[in-house]
Amino acid sequence: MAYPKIISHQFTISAKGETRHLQIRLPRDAHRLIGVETSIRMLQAVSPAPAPASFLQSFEMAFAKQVGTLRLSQPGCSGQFYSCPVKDENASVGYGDFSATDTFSPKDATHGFHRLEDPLNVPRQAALILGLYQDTSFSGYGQNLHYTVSLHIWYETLNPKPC
Amino acid sequence: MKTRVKKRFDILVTQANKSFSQDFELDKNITSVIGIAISSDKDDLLYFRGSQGVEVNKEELFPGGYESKLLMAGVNVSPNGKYYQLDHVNPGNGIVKMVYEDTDDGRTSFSPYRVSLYLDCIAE
Repeated sequence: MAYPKIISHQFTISAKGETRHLQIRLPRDAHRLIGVETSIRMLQAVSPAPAPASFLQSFEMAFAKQVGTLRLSQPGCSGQFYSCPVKDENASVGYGDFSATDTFSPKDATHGFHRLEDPLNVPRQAALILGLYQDTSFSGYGQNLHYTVSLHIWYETLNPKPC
Repeated sequence: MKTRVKKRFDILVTQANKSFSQDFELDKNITSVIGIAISSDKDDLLYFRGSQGVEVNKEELFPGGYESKLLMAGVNVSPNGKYYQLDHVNPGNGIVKMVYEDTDDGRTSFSPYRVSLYLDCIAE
């Protein structure tokens, strides 16, 4: 029987357009990669995504700002098994939500949905995962950003669970 | 007869950029843990600043540094869907360990807050 586990990797981005090469060692008991999650944490003052100011404004779609792109591959295997933009908080959590009051307006922290991992089904081919992260935050924020990226890789292990 | 019970464990976060580790004990009649959720009295601080590692019976469910925002569910989520599904975790010795870490985020200012860990369990 397979059991899911997670390995985490964090790195910091501080320059516009910075590219970071990643090498993440897979545990020996990792059998298959089953998911990827990413998250960012700002290390400088940045305004949070604004909540809709009025009922009419809640029908305006706002897109989550992209801070970078992440690509993952395994040594010895051609191509990439995962490529996805890394985005900040959901800016449209208040879309169509006219429940806002002066003191309680839709925000990702209070109204957000479950954030689930991007599912994968990648057999383990090597002991390492190679990654490439490229910062693209300037186009969305108009400023250099200093932030930490957290990468969580879900994998399956066939080792039995402790009793 | 098996029943579903929700257990809640609290950690008070009193200082910024610190780790808070606490062990909790499940009731002896709990036979498996099937869901986990995390909440706070200050959702924005938990969302932007929080990360935690969670162990049950010394088995790591989530490693340290796993952001709290990845386990949170807001008011738009059905009550039946707020818990993150686990695969019938055996409680073993019944000890739940959570190491919560508060880290500065440029979008928030720190003030003391409470972090609550909820476990959806099956009890005999």
